[in-house]
Amino acid sequence: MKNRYLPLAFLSICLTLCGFHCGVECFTIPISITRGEAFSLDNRGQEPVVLEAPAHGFLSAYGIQVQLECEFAEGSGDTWTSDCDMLQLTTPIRECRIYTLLDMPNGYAAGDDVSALFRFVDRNARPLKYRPLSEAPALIPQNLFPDIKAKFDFLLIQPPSQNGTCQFEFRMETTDSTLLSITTNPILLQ
Amino acid sequence: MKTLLKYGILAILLSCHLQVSAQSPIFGKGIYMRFGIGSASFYHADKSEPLVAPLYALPRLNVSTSFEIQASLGKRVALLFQFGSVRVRSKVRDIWTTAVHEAFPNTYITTDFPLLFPDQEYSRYPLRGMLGGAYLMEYQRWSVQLRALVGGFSSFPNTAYAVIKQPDSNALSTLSISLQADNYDADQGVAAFVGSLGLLTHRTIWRRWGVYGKVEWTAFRSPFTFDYVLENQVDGSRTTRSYGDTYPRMIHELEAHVGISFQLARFKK
Repeated sequence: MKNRYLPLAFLSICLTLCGFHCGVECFTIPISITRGEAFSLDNRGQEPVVLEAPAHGFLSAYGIQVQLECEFAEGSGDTWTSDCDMLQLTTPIRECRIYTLLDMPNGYAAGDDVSALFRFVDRNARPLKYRPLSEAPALIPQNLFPDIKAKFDFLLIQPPSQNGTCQFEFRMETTDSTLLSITTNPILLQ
Repeated sequence: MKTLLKYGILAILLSCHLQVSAQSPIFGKGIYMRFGIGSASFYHADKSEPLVAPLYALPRLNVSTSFEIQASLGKRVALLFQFGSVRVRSKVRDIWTTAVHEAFPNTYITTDFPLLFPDQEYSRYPLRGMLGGAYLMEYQRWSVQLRALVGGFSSFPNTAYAVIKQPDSNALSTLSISLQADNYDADQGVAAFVGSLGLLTHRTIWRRWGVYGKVEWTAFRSPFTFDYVLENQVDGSRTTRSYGDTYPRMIHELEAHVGISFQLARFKK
C-alpha cells in the first residue's frame, strides 16, 4: 500500500529540486562609465594620500588618482535578478593617456603626451604591480559597481629634476570612441 | 664508542628477547588500537635562510598526535598502520613579516599569504600515513616493539608576497617567494615518501586497556623548492634565486609519544 506513493513522492522531490535549480537564470547587466575625477597624490608614506587643493606635492612621490563612476546603462532595468548576475562595461576602455597642461622643467611642453613618465597601479590587485599606461585598459576591471567610485593610481616615476607647477590631463577613450577627459588642479611640485 | 653503544643496545635487546620468549599470557594474536600525543621536532639544514625557512613551517618542538592499528600475527610479528598529524606552532605571518623587515630595513612592508585564510596565522597541519611491521618482545604485562614503517608525508608550505616601499618616494619593489614543487596540490599539500624506525613500550593495565610510550625517528627527502623573485617596479629589474637544489634535502623528525592502547579483537589460536 505504502509503495503506491513512492513514485509520486520521488516525482515531487525531483520537480521541487528542478524548480529550485532551473529557475535561476543569470544575466549580464550593462554598465557605463559616466564621469570621473582626478586628484593629486602624496605617496611618501606606506599608502598614498589625496592632496587637498592648497597643498604642494613632492617630486619623488607624486601621483594622480583617477576616480571613475559608473551607472547602469540605458535599458538595463537597474535591477539585479539573481546573485549570479554579472556587471559589464558596455563599451570597454581602449586607451588611457596622460598629457601635461603646463610646460615641465624636464623638457615637455604643454600639451605633450607624458604617459611614459607614469605607471598604472591597481591597489586591489594581488600581487601589486606597476604597469605601463598602455596595459591599463586591459587591467581595469570590466565589472565596476554603479554608485561606487573605482580608484586607480598613476604614479610619476620619472619626475622633473626641478621644482615647478604641474597640471595634468587624464584622457580615457572607450571602444566606441567616447572620450573622457579629466584634469588635476595645478600643483607645485618640489 | 659508537660501535660499543650500538652492540651494547643490540645485546640488551637480545637478552630481553630471550628472557621474555618463555610465555606471554596477556598478549597474543589480535588487533590493537592506539592513540597517542607527544612532541615532534623537525631538524633540517635550511634554517640559515630566514626568508625561506619560515615558509617550510617545520619548526622545532610541535605537538603531534598519532593513531595506529596493530595486527599481531603471532608472538613475534605484527603489522602496523599509523596515521599522524603535527600541529605546527610557528606563526608563519609574524615570523616571515619580521624576517622581511630585517632583510629590508627602513622600508614600508606589506605582506600577503595567498594560501592562508586572512585570519589564519599558523600553517596547516602536516599529515603522515605509514604502513610497516614490528618485532614483538612480550613478557607478562609488558611488550617491547622494534618497528619499521614506510609511507607518505604531506605538508603545507606557504607562498608569500611582500610589497617593499621606500619612504618619501614612489620607488617600490615586490618580493615573491613561491612554492615550485612538482607534486603540489592545494588540498593535499606537498607529498614525500618517508621511512621511520621506532621503539615502543606497552604495558597492559586493565583487561584490554594499556598505556604505551614510543620514540620514532622519521626521515624524508625535502619536497620543498622555492623561487625568490625581487622585482623593482620602477625600472623592471629582477633578482631571482631558487631555493631547494642548493640546500641539503633531508629532513629528520624525532617524535616522542605517550598514549592509550585498546585490544579490539583477539584471534583464536
